[in-house]
Amino acid sequence: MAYKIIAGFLVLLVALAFHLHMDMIVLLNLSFIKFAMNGLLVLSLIPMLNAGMGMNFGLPVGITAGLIGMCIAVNFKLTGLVGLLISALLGGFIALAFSEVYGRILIAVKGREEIASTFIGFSFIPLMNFFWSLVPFSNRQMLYPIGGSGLRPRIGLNPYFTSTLDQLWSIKVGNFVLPFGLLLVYGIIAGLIHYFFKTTSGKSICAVGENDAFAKASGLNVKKIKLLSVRISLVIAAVGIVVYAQSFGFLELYDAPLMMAFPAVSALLIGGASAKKGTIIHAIIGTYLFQSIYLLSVPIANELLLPEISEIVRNIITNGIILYALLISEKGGRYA
Amino acid sequence: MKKVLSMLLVFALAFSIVGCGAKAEESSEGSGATEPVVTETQETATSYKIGIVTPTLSTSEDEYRAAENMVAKYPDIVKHITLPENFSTEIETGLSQITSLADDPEMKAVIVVSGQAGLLPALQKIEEKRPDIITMTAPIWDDPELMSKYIDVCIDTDWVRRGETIARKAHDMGAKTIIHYSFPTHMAKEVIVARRDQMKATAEELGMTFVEVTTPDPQTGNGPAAMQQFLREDIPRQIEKYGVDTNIFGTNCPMYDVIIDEALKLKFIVAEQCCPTPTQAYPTVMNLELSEEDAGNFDKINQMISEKAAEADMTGRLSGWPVPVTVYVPEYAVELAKKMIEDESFDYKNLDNLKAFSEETFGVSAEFNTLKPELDNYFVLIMESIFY
Amino acid sequence: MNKPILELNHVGKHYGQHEVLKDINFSLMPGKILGIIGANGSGKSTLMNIIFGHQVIKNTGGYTGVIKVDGQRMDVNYEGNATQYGIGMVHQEFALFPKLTIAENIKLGNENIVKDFAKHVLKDYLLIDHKKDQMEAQEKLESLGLEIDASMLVDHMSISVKQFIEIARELDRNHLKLLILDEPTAVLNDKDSQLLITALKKLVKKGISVLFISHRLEEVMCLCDHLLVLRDGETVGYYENGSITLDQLAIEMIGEKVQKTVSNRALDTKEVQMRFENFQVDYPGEALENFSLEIYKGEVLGITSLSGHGKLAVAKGLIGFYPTRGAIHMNGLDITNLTYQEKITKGLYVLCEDRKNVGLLLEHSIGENIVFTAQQLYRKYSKPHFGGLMKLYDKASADKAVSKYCEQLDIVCRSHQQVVKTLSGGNQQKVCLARSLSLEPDILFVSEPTRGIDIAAKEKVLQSLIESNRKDKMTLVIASSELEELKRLCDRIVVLSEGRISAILSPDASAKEFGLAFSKGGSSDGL
Repeated sequence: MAYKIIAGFLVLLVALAFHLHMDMIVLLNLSFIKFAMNGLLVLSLIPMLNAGMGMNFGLPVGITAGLIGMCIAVNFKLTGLVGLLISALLGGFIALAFSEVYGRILIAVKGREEIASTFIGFSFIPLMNFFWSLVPFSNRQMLYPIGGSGLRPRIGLNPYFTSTLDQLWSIKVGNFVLPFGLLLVYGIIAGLIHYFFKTTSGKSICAVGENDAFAKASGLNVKKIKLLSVRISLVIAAVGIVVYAQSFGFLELYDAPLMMAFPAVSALLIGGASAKKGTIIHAIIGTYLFQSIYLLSVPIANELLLPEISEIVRNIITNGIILYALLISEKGGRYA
Repeated sequence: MKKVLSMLLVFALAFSIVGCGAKAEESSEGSGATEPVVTETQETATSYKIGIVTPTLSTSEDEYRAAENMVAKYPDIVKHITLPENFSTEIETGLSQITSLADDPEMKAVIVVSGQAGLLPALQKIEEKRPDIITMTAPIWDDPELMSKYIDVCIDTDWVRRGETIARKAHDMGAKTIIHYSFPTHMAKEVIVARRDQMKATAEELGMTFVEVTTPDPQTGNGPAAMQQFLREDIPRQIEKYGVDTNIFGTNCPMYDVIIDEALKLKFIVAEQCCPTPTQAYPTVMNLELSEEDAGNFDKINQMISEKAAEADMTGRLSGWPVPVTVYVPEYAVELAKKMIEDESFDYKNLDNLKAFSEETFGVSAEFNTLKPELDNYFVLIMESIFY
Repeated sequence: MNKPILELNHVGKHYGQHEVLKDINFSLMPGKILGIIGANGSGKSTLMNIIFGHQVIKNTGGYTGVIKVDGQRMDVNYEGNATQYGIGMVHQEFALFPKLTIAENIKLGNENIVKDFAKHVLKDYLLIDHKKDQMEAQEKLESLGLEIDASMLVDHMSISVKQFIEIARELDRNHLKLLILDEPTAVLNDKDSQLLITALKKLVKKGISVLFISHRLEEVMCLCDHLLVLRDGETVGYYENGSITLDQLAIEMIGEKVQKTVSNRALDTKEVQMRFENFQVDYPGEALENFSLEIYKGEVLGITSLSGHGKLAVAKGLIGFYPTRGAIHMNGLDITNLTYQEKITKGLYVLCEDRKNVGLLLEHSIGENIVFTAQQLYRKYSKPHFGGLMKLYDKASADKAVSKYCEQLDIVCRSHQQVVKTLSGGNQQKVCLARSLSLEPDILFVSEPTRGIDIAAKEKVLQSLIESNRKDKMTLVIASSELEELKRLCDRIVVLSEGRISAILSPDASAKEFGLAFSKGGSSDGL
């Protein structure tokens, strides 16, 4: 399995970090936050993957929905949990609206969903760039300082809800801070998805993903079920970006969502998901490993290598290991 | 499905062509209508145009707004076009957009503002096709020798010497350490490396520690988000190690949202941004609420930053240039081009002339130099500082 | 010219333990046409595959006996080899490239090359002489009596033209001595069939021999010089044309085996439960037309035909896999325009023949496969969680049901959690059946219930079907190519030929009646 190799690599990195006297507790803190802030975006891939629509490379569509939700919340200067909640709610509704169109396109291109979603994701960004620079929001903290109209590429969330979840019910033990609220939110959503796949609807999604002829022969409405999976995926993605942004402290618009699908897909694959099926466990393992490797490898490379080459070597090693791990797991059979 | 899609594409193409055509006509009509007015009010008998090329609004606000300001100021003269959003993949489009400016017979000057390498061929082509057009860069970053050869006037910030001035300023502000954040694609650029070397040399000369840290490369892999996230994680580590009397410098603009945000929390020093401007990072991080009439009013923005800095107990630990150099340089270039066209006796190669022109036109002091003694048309400038 | 072109001595073939061909002997003289006749599973296809050197024969241990071509013992190692012996075959499924022109298709692999060019380049990169190709292809087509421009795309051609193109392609091979035609007229209408027969007769005058496989007895009798009848892998007869009548041939083909039916009962009441009116299914290769039928409550109805003649189309059409026309009534309701889900809830269920692709979720457990449909459609085997917010799988009640069916159907497995793909074909079929029965349909359509499963499983499956019919009054419609099984189980048997009902027979009907019903040719006189 891919995650075993990656886990091995992570152990090596931890050993190196220890050897370099890096602050392990701070690293552990960060690893939890990084895990939870990226976690929902990874989870959001699962419903569509299980419905046989492949990895949702069109993640920017869902993310954009969340961003719009947050922009509205910020525009009305909603702060704290209320701001977050309203952002997530609005984002969710906008994601539902997007999924009606997005889902229908993907259903129409059956068999080539991944490439189609990639293209939709990419072409959605310029469309939204247009939107961001024209949308008439009134909170001047969001607008370009010189021209006075159009949204800034990055909007600071400090006065609104930066770290609201990170600090919610966080448990302090010495230097170690467990972001309990953040993990709880992640846990609740992951749990809901897990349970959802035990319900009849969830099972129908898996059946469609595994064999849509069977689903049809069992009297299921395949299109409706696929659309459902798209809806769920996009809504989770929208909520996911809200959680991400509160952790990150900025609302990143314009081109920022463009590449966000790729780390999420990598994380899910590392966790052991196949091209047809992924579970919550895959997402959890994959997200933690992938994000922790990122967290550790950059500072370690900076300590160990010449500054000029550290980033290049780091990229070669980390991406090489990820690729190697995927190759190995692919060799072991699709269902290994 | 495929057919519908291709039809849509064709329509989109057709529409954009027709649309552009219509716009071009409109603008030429417009200028035709105002032509007599121009001749009446201005002493020059012939009307002329100055073309300015900038990145899009979302890529870089300052340059875009600078060009828009100039359009607003001289609506009949300045023509503003933007480079493709995705500069690195669509550079060909950018090149043809620039050269197409020279198709307008009234065009007298073309100014390219991009802060990227690779646009020189377009200017070279204009120089061949229309030697009468004044080509100007404000700035682009191709090979300086070639730029000096093919371009009439090159204006840029004095990036390399800033290595020295920033280090000195940081030292004056009380810094004992300078941390320099960069990544491979930047460290492959001569100017950035030279600046780093100067900064390092000056820091050592002044007895400061110089630390270099490599971040994930925003131009490869996962984009700026990974870089910013790394800074979030790394800055607290470094400050814990080197103390608050540390100046942090990063070579990439998007770094500053995180750097200044962390500075407000951790109280370290930011002597100057890579592109020193009050409009970058400060408004986002400090959530400046600029009223509509204050938009673009730099004195007001600077004042607000000072207030917020004082609130965060950071007075004297943040500094920059009073006007964004990225707004200033393009505007300066337009004014200079206008001056050169209207007053042919103006000796633009005299550095004192340039300084005086800045003060009389903008009321801001800037010191001009040539990049290298032998390149007499490649000017680099450093502006006066403002301390918040 | 008295040496036979093809000679078979004691040719036989085993697939594992199963003997599919036994001691086949015949010889074919140049310029003669031999017709090979047999029902499904009689060994026709295997025989063709042996002669043509199909890979499958070699992979399953080769064959016994000797085949001589032109007096020379044939040693076929791979498929291309047979062509070198001068054997050409036109398969039932066309092997044409739709996006190439007719000429390109005909000359593919046998292209003329530009001569001057040949000296300078490697063999595989020679320029093709399209003009010459075109001309030769045109000639070949005309020799078959087909007037058509060879530069057109194959994609736009009708099925019958495609058939001619296939034949023309075989003719184009150098030294073609023997042409094998596998059901060439199955896809042709009467007129085109006639055209083909004329063309073939012309062909044999040139000294080419033909092996002609067909289910249309009239055609075989009109075209062939000799007739070979196969049944269950054995030669039942070898006749000079004219020495046997059509009726006799039909009996020879089906065999006079007397089968004991399970029960020879007369239905008490002939209450119509389901009625098809001009039902039509556009199932490519298995189309169904003008299907009008009444199905009585509680009966066991068989549907049979040769493969490709429509017996599987009824089921697929009901599910909605293929476009349909016509009307369907069930229990007095018009269900024509209902979705399949609605049809199921009204008491219909269809079990397809394609277990692996349609019938099962191979990656899921036995239990999940059995309860899936009932759970999805009737929310069975689930119970509310979180105060009714979510309905989750109720393992206890599902397990109980699964155990019941496992026992009833003798599903051999380690546990109910065993993944279905690891089961044998027979057990997989039982899982499918268990799912169907768990829905308790009023009327069940089953396609090929015993295909590819061992004898014990076969008996169990058939027995369970009958039990459900008798005990639960479930109306049963079985589509199968196993005529013997249908005769044992059914009250009535519908025989389809070329997508139309050719006869509705009692299971006691004679072999002759079945034989004739199967082979009823022509599309004009369906009923």
